[in-house]
Amino acid sequence: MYRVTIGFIIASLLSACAVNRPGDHDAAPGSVVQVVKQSDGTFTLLRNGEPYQVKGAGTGGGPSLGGGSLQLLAESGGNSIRTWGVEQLEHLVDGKPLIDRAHDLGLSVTAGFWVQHTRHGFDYSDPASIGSQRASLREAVRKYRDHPALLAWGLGNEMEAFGPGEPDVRIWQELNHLAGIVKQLDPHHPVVTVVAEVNEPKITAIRAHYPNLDILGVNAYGSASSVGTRLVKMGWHDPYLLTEFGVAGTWEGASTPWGAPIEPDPTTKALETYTVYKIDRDDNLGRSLGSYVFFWGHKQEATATWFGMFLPTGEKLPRVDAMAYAWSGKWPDNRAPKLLSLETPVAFQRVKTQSSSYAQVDCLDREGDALRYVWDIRAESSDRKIGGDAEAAPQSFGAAIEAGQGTARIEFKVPNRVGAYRVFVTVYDGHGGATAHNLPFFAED
Amino acid sequence: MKKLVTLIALLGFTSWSFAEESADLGLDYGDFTSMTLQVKAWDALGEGQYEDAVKYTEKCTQLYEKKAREMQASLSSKPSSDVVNDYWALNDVGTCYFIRGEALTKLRQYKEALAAYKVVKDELYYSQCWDPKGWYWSPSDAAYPKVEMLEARINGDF
Repeated sequence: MYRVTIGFIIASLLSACAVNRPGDHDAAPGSVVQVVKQSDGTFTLLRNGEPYQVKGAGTGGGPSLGGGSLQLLAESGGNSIRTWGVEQLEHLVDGKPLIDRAHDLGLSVTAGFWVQHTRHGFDYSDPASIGSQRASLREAVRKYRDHPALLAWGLGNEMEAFGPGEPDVRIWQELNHLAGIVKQLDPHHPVVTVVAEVNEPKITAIRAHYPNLDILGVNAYGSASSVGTRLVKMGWHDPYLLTEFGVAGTWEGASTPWGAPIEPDPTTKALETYTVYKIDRDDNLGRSLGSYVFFWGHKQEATATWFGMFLPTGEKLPRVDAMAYAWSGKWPDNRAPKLLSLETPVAFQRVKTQSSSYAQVDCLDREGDALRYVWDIRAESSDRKIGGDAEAAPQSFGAAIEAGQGTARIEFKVPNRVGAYRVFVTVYDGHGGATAHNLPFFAED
Repeated sequence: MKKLVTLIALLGFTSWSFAEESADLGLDYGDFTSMTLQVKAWDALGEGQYEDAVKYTEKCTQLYEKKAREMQASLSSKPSSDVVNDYWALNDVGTCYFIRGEALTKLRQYKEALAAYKVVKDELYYSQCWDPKGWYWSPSDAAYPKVEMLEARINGDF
């Protein structure tokens, strides 16, 4: 009781200098979340008066979520999820809307509101379009502001321009207006706006045109571990969230001569994800309010396994275990299998169509589970997008596998059609864990 | 007997020297400048010739590490862009240690890679590397997450 009273007094004192501003919504909120600036210049996120460090994951609902993974997030030591659009809050998970299921599991939600992108054709000089977007935001805020799981409003995701030109200042001005709407309707939850990486012009523009922003959200991949230090160098001493991180992006690492990005092996991906989380947490105390790993579900982007932490059938991949270790300090009882090596003579090579080859994988299961191997040969993705836009899965050439399907070694024939391919292997432990890897090759006459 | 031992030792030393020279002869070190060796190491790394990348970096550190350490010791902060090229040995040797870390990681020689990254992170931390896109970057800063990752790989159960 004594501790609770002291905690309440401290929270009350801290709330006196909270960044959040008063608004017109005086009904009892489901939760009160504040960003508090301490006397030493650092920041604390308070959720219902208690310090709260986000240990989260970006996820959605519906088929892409992966069966049971929201529960696994909570069991793994995660405490929050992030979505991109408000409609995702209603996607059913275990028979309930995502936001309700999250609350059942003790997870908070940074509710994304999709601020339209000019690259998708939205015109920020059109009053009707702007008005419609503002009306949608008002509706969303009124609908969810009293939900107890709500942690923050995620206003926009990578809505700034891509390419050589810097974003039009109108996007920041409009975001400032939208954040004002949120604050007026819901003074109890901070506003996060998520940008794609950071640079000085972007930070300068936000400073100049977006004073209503409470927390800067940064999506970063290959350089994610240095976001905190780079923000300081750019003069950003305010709080931030690492809103997407994981493995180096398809656009950041090595590629084959024919332009196929080379996917890191699953152990390296797990290590990279863990390391980014650890550095961001440990080196940016009082500025990084936490992070959301990407992506707690399944997603086709260049390959079926680059960013997704689950298979479409719901099995967890090793990065899930790495985050469980990062969040809780403990490895789960059942670990995903460990891929020791994947080899094929065609890897990274130009080879003759219809030529014969093989591939073999060496995997370890720490619990001694019997492993099941599923191989596939797929065309290189021809539906590449930017900014995480949805991509179609490439065509399978599974019939090229002549022998060994289900085992650790296959014999296969290089497809008859000239082009870029990958040989994929997925290894299942039969207890909800799996690992997957692929190697690219090019078939030519 | 003593003469025989001396002869065997001499033959052994000669063959070792020849072997080492032969290994060197397989690579073109160009004009042996630190810049050339650094560029060749990057090229080899990019082409997946990881053993060659390591050899280029070894040649660079063999020839220029002493000078690089003198330059590092003379500094109290990262040189500004107008004088950064004055610290050529520091920049090239620091960068070569970073490249060596990258190449050894690809070769799965994780402990050796960690040692290489640690040199640039902890000892040659004022080195800088020119990016053709138009700016200098810090191999030491870039080595930091690599060190963390390799320590987790070596000591953790990933």
